[in-house]
Amino acid sequence: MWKRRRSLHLEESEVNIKNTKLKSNDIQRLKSVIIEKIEAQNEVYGWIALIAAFLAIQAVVSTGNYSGYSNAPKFGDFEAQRHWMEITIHLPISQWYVNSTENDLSYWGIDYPPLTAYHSYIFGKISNALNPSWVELHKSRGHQTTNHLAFMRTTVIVTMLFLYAPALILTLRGFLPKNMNFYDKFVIGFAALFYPGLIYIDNGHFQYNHIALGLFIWTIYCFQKRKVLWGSFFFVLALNFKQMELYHSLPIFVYLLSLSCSSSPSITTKITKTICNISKLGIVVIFTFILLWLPFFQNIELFTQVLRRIFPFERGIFEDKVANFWCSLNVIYKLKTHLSTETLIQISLLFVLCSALPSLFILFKKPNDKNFRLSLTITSLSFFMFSYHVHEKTILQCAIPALFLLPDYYEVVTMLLDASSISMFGLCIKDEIPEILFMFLVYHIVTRILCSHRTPKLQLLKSVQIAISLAVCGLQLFGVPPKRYPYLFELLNAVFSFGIFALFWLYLNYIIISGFISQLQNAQQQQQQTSQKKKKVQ
Amino acid sequence: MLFRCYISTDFEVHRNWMAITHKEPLSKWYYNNVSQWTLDYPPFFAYFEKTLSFIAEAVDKDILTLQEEPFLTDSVLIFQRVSVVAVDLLFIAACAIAAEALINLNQWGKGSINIRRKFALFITLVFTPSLILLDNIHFQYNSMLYGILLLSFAAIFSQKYLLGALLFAILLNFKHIYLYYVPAFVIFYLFEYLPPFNFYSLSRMFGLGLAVALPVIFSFGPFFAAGDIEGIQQILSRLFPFKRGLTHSYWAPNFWALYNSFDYILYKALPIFKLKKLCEATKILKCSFKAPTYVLGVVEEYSHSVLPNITPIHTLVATLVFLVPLFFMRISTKRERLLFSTILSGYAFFFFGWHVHEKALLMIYIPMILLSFDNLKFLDTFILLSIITPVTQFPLIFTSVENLVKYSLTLSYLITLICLLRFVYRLPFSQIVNKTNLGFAITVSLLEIYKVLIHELIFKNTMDFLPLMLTSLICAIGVTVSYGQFFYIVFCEGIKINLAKRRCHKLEAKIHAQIKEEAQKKFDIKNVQFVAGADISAFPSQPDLAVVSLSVLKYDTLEVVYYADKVVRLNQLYIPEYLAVREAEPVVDFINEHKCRHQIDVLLIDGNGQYHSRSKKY
Repeated sequence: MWKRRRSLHLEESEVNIKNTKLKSNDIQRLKSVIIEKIEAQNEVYGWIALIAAFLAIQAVVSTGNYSGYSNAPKFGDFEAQRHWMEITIHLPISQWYVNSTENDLSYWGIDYPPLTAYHSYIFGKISNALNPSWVELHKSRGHQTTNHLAFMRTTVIVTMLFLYAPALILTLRGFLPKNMNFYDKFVIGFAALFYPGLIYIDNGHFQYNHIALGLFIWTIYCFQKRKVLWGSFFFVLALNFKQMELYHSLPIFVYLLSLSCSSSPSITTKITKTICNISKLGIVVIFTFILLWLPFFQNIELFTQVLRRIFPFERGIFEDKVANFWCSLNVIYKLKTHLSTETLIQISLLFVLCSALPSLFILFKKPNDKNFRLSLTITSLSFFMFSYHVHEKTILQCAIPALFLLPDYYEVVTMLLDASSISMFGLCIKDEIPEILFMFLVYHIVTRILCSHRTPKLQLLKSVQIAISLAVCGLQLFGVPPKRYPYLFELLNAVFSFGIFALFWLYLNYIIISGFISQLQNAQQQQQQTSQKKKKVQ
Repeated sequence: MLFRCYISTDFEVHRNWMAITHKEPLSKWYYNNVSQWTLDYPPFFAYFEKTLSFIAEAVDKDILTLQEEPFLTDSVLIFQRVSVVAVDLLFIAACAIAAEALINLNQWGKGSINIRRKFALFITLVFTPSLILLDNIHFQYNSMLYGILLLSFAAIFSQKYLLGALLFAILLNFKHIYLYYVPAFVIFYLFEYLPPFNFYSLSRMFGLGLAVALPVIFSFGPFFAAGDIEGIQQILSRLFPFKRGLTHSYWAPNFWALYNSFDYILYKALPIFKLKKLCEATKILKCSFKAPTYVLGVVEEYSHSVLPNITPIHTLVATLVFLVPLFFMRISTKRERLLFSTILSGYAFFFFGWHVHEKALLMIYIPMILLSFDNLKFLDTFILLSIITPVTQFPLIFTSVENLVKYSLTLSYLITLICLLRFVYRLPFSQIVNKTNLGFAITVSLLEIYKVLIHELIFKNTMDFLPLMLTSLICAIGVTVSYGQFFYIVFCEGIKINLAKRRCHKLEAKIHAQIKEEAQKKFDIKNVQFVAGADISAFPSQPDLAVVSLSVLKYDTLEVVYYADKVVRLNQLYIPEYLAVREAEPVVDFINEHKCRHQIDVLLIDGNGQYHSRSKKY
């Protein structure tokens, strides 16, 4: 079609030389506009298809077991979510977080912030309308019917499709380079959307992480579009859905602070503008907080009770075998026997802050998109590796910001994603769905095949990584551990994953620091050049 | 991944077959009736089960227990699920090969469009939701069989006719339902392979005979050796149980479903309107007014209450009548004949056959996928079928979590399909999904909502048969419509052309009269600011797709100020002298669409009379 137009145009140009230049420019421009239009439309359809496929995958994973299936008397996370629905609709708000005869906190008491409770309340009302026996007080404990299961699975799928997936796609699109071709965009979108860790935890194991993470991604999206106030609003919501979002709060705080600092030359306007910006943000944040916590302000005791539920420091530095620093260190040096809880908390806090500091400092100095993404991932990894009482599911908090690094460091990030999924394999075994490993593997293979720019060294590294992880998983699944160390293989997995996370953390730090230094050098050179020019002029 | 879905009886069926083939000597396979699920597939399938049983023995010996009661443990479950996934690999490979073969045969120019089509066809085939539902949830080995079918198609596409025949014969010995295709293959080889009739055709005939006979000998031979002619008779009696009813417990959406529901409506309606006497007056009708048994969901013979009973002979005659058109097809390529005839014979058997399973709709659907990627004319029919095929399978799977899966899978397949088609052809949405299909999609989704939510509210646990009946009724209407569409496209082109020509003549006369009237109007060139040109151009290799474009130029500087284009599907036929019939409509629509977006004073359209000229010029 275009060839024909071109040739027609050539004939014309021979006749009418005067207009040739103008017209050829025009046609070139139009051509690029049209191609862009087609590409954009293609992209939209591509994303829709991806989301549709996402739906299918979720549904398939949904048929698997959930955590604590037929595992009386405590059951698992699925029962926890159901139990919260039961509690929230039958008890008054003030009783939600308080231990009483009606609300036995040792049986899956609510330990997430209020937004989760409200969310449970809404779905509790819906399930009560559909079938009251699903959420009957006390009697419904350990309720297991397929209809109820289908309902719960649907609640996850719905929010995942309409809250999480669009946020992810929209935000990711903003971070993609403009001149990237359709295929590469599609591949990155695929790798981000089909990240198996989250699909497993939310659709398989059963939790609502995607809501907190989705809200967090909306935050990034708003920041990307320079709507800072909306962004902070969303972040407060995310924070109030799961306290784990604190992992992201430091970079976001620094980023906002740095953005609020006005760069006007005169000092007085600078200060007033900065204060004005900060106070605006402060009002939004505080107002949202107050709104969400309003029912719990009745008396101070209730408030502290809720806080105590949300931050349970008495639970120890790590629970099961987690791929973080403390658990790995524990192999050599038994922490719990040597140090008291107090000191452990202090040490872990110190470690986290120290490890996150360089990236935060650079983010403060140069608050651009890339540094923001990098430091989000770095800080959350620091938290994951060094902070107090980490759960293996918490790696999601690091993996999701890492998804936005896919456009820049595709291969390295997919390595992290693989490692993070496989570090949760112990959970899969507990949930009796080892077939999830198959999904992790397919994800690894597909992301690897689709990738169009490969570097041989990294490919080799990836093969080594996946081979070791598979071996470890195989041991976990079929191996019989020695009697002295019943958790040997779990520990092996944890330590190995920790190694990969630590390497990745170092690599990101290297990137952000070297980028910063080269920027500084450039700036210095420019300064020198300008000063030299000035001298010459003089 | 669908390991933990509900467990249908077919599990036990296949496990039992495995046990039979493992424990019993070959001659006893078709006599064994320890369990109620006797072996009723042809011998190759039995061999297949035998091979599986060797692996099963290595995994866990308990799997092969031969007993009357169903036997189910975790290892049985996992073993069987894994075996399906393993043979799925064959299906995936077959899809890739078939897609490659078909698209290579019908290249559309150069460039990426062929790769895009290949990719889309592959995805469409592999992720057919009905197959996933049937195999991975309900549990059967259909994928493998369709894989062999696709391989056979692929062999024929790449002109290895003998291989194609061989593969088809093997397939036939796996599952006898593929007898549906036999007329199609016979016709294909009769018209395309054997002629021209000369000395060489004899050798070809010999080769063909050999290709067909070999699998048969290999499959039935051992039984003949073991049990003489009786052994084969026993197999045949197991394969063709005519003792079952006209329709399955759940009616497959074919003509007889319509017939049954009409009968049922009459049975309910006649007493209300007091037409019993009228009914008895027409002697053909039965008017027995016994409650019909077919609504009870049993697999038995039954009789109708008002309309005359149907016997196997009736269905056979109807099927044969509808097979006759196979001889009168207008064919342009060999692959078209193959696909047309398979679809047509599939339709005939499915629509009028005795005791048809709803699964058999796949036998129309799979070739239809291939055909629609070969020829865009069938896109509408194809989409209609892709809506209906999964819906007919839905009643097979009824537990709540699996409900979620079946809906999600189907929805996601349909959306992906539309996106893929859009990606391949760059057609706008309205051109991909036409109004009929949209209507069907909405009806079907309403039906499913009713089934899941509303039915229980209204009837509680009574009237179990109603949703099933509604499903098969609606799907039957859909199948009928698709059958009609297909028939129309294949056979009625001539009528269409004549109609269009006549319309053209009338219009021409009208236009002449108008021109005479308007010729006097004056036209001032000074008022002209913008000149527009519009044209349409069809793809040389795919005449059903065309690009319309419109450019607006400023009159004085000839600067391009507006440009638009769009890919359209041409629904009308190409008639040598009447190009306008085919191309005018999209152009006019397109101009109307863009008229309001930019001012146009003069419109230039090239009628291109030179290449499509008539002897007499107007």
